[in-house]
Amino acid sequence: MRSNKRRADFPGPSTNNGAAARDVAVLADAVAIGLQRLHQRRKLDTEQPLVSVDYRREAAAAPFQFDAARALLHRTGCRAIPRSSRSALYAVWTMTDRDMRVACPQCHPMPRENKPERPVDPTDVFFGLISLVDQFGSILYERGKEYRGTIRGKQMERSLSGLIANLDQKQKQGMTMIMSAMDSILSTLNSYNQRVGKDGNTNGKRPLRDGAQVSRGRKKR
Amino acid sequence: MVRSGSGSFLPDREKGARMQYLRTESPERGLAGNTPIYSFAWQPKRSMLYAVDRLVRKHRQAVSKELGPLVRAHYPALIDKDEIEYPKMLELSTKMTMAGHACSEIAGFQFDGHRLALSALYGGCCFLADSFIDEYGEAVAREYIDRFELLLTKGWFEIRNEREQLFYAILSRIFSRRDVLEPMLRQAIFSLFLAQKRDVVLRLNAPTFRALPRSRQLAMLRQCARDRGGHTIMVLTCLLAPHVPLRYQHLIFLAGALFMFIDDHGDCSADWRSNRITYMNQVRFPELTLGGIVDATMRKLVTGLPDNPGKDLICTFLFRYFVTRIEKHALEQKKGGLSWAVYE
Repeated sequence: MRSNKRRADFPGPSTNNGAAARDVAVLADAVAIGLQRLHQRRKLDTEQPLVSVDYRREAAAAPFQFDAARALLHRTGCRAIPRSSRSALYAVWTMTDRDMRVACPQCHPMPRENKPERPVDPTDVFFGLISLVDQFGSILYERGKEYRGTIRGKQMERSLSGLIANLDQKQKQGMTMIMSAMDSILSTLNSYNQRVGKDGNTNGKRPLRDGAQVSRGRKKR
Repeated sequence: MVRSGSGSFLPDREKGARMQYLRTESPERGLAGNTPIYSFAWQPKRSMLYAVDRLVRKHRQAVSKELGPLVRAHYPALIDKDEIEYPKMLELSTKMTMAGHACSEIAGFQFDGHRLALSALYGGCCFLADSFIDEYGEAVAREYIDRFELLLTKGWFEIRNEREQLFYAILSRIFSRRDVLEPMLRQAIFSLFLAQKRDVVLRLNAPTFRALPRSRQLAMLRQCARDRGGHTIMVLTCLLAPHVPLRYQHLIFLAGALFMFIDDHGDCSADWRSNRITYMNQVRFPELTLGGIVDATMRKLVTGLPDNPGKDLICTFLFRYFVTRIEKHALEQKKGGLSWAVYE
């Protein structure tokens, strides 16, 4: 199987070299850097992780380990894995018949031992995202209003409108769906926050009497 | 005698003549025309060497187009300083882009603009991350390792200067172009970090390390270089291709390790100056040792990789890289040390 058909498998965004895409990338850079700066200034909860790349905990539960240095697929815990290969192991959840070619002759891993790959828990990602939105959402909101009024902001708005206008029908539908989902997620979150806020469980923040919250040392608008 | 891809195996009787030169007769500039070819068991075709020369030039331009605006926006001093650092960054990124091109093709994917951008960004990211660890002394290296660990486990990175801002901007571009929570990619990134950490720890604990038997020292250093190179190219491959069969992953890992051995030999003098011990500057006969590793790895790549343009590209580029790095090594010895990647 080659090229065009398999390109569709690629889980990244498609290539777009337009000015709008460049502007969005520049904006994304600024948001990413801004987020770190907020964290640096202790405006964000320092205990909350932004994202964790470390996969060691999950990897330990995988049924197989692939020794990339020696081309051998082992069962997890196989005693034939040499010490020198431990730093070159990759956790594998499913093996195919073709992988039998690289199966360890000592532990004989078999495809019937496959386990479904433990996916990234969407609730982890969701609550991570919500935690951030919750913490600096108001800052973004105010900045957004200010930025929109500037010349650069207006240019960006036009670029984004152009970007959205260039989406095909299916992409537009997808975007509308995401926006409405976000909308309902945020309103659900708001009511959730108001309820649990009364119990003091407010993502590291002190609840106010009317259900609004206060960031550490900073009042929310 | 085996034939495959762009090159061919020589008969057994010629295998011993590793370091003999065969001069090509090309009217074009570049490695294919001006540089002696080492007589390994596997030789690239001349036409492939010319094609790789052209591709290097093309990718270098694309890399400059991708990284240039980012550098100007976040760390303009890197360009304005009028030093060799920015061109060096472009060269490393070009190397990464060539490797990325080959790995995409090996996995059966077209090397499109998106993959090219990812490769260039990853090259820039590696260049800066390496410089943080290698160029500011041991205490700073230790601190960066701690900060990288926080970045990878919690996602937080305190940006202290423009150079770090550029690093983080490049990193966030990579993260926005690719789902970094994909398990193989996560493992490759973290394994690369652990390999870098081991390398720094070896340097910081030099007296303890020196107390070990020599054979153990060499084994540890060789494993460290293998892992640094192997995981570097695994990260690149996972960024560019979502599904790669295990047997090819192994060969790609070996190719990455070979890049690292070649690099360490090329940087031998610079590493000595900065008290950095590597496998290649500890072995008694480095050129012969490297020749043996190149020969054995190329043999595995030629026989194991699928017959497609990716195999031709990675084998020819590795060969070319080896030759230019041998030249770099000789230049450094003659001129008393240049920390400069020589490609042409």
